[in-house]
Amino acid sequence: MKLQINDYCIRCGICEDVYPDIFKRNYETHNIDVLFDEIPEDKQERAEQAAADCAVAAIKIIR
Amino acid sequence: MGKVVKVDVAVMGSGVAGMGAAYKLVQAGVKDIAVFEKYPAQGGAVSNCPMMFCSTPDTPEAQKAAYEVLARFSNYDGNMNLISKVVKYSSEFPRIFLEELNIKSPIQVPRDPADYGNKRAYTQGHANGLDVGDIYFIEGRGKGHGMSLALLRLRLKLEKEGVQFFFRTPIKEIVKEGDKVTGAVAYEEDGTRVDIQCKALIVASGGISGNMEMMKEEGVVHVDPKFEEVFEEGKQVMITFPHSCQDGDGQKAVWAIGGKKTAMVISADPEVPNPGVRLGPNTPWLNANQIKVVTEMPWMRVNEQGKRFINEEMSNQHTAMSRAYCKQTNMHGYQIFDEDTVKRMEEAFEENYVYFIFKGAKLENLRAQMDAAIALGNTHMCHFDTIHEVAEYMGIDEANLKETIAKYNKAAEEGYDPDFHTDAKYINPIREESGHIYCFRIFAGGYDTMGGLQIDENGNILDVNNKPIEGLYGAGDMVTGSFYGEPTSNAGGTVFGSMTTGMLAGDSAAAYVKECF
Repeated sequence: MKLQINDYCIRCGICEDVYPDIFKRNYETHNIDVLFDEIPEDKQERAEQAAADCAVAAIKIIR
Repeated sequence: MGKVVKVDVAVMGSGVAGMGAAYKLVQAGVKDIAVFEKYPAQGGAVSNCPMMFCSTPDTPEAQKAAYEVLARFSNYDGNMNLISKVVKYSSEFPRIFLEELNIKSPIQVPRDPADYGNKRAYTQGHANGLDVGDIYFIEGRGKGHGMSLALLRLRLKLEKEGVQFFFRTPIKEIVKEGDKVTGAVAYEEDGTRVDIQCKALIVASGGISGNMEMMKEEGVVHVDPKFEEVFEEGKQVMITFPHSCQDGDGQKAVWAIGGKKTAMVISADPEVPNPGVRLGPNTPWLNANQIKVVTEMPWMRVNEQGKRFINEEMSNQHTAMSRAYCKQTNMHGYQIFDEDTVKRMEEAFEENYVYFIFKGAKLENLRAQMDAAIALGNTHMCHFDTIHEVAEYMGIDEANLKETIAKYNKAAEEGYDPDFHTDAKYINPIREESGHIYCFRIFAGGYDTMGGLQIDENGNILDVNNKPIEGLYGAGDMVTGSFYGEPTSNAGGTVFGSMTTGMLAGDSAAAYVKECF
């Protein structure tokens, strides 16, 4: 499983606040960095929840 | 090599004001529209906070009632014709948000126009919570607020209509030839210069809360250095989007060509700073615990001098509280209550008070929640057995505090508060005999700053001589003082002032382009 952040992401940072083990706000690029290229199995459920929690559905799950 | 963008109207900023402007420009049939945004995405500050909007129904009775409230609120200092236009534009909100953008509104709080201005409530219709219309709570997606979804949909809709969006491309200068604005200069991230040629320019770049230096210079923030950490990245209570890019580019560019400079202030949402209160640095509305809600309860407030400064019934009205804190030493106050009050809150948070449209919640083990935040390094809360210990830890004048508490307790006993006329049912005495004393240090916060520019009733930006600058329009937080009065005190929660001024600027710019070219 991979995660991709769409460009219309509003950078609100909910994902970092609630799932800091997966997302990190990048203050240089103003982007949200996904901390894993391939999401580890034990974090996949949280990654799915993060996608559901996103305010604008900008987190895409790629399997 | 630079680039050239030639359009009819350019818009600076893609927040709710800029988008409102672009929406109206499209409706008016303007063909070439470009929106320039410094941030990588649309929405501005408002995208991340409002969960509601306020709309005055389009009936003569409601329009007049709302007009009267706003005119009085501004001390008749606002532009009266601008007030009526703002009120009128707000009546379009339900159609735009609920029908065109298909945003759900599960809770609506209709108000009788006869009641406008009589009640101050959480459902702020405008500054200081005086209702001036019906409140629509809008449903967001996931853990976000509804406005972020609304503005994404609006951007996609506008793009389909041909509006060009340039992200990460801030406008820095305005080009004026003679008396007329004819363009602007923006810069891409790599420094590439973009010369914008336009017939009209709408400035809607919001506040300056991303620019600490400017906030100090303009007197927006004035605190003892020991409290500066409160406003640092990740802890700051000032910014909805940390590192939000709201750097005052719009104000600076307008002032540079002779635009009138008005006062700037913080508005809305006082907070106990992180750590341990909010979930993280980014989401003021996602709480780590119940402390945020407790700080909105109407228990006694004092300042560093140990003196009360407001009728505490206003505690859940973010704008009023924030403005009051701003006027205290070091821009903060203290909420103090005793063990009996905690027990009462553990039975039930006051029904029909805080978040009165939501069910009252139960408070669970406040002391443990505070201890958890304190363990994370939070120095803005404490609980002790005595008032002396609280005063000493927090740095409140002890003699004054004791005197204030004695007076407050007397008001509770007599059922009358001669100093602030706080309703006696919200006055809980503070007694050491209850067993324990609790205290929070609460800072003025805000999603943004307000003010800086002045507009007339057409949304035209005024120069230092109160003369409209041809081809230059303003909208949003930076101009709300023009109808709320100076210094402005806009309530950010309802987009009542920001989107409406954007719509007005859009309509006026469209008319100008059609008539004059």
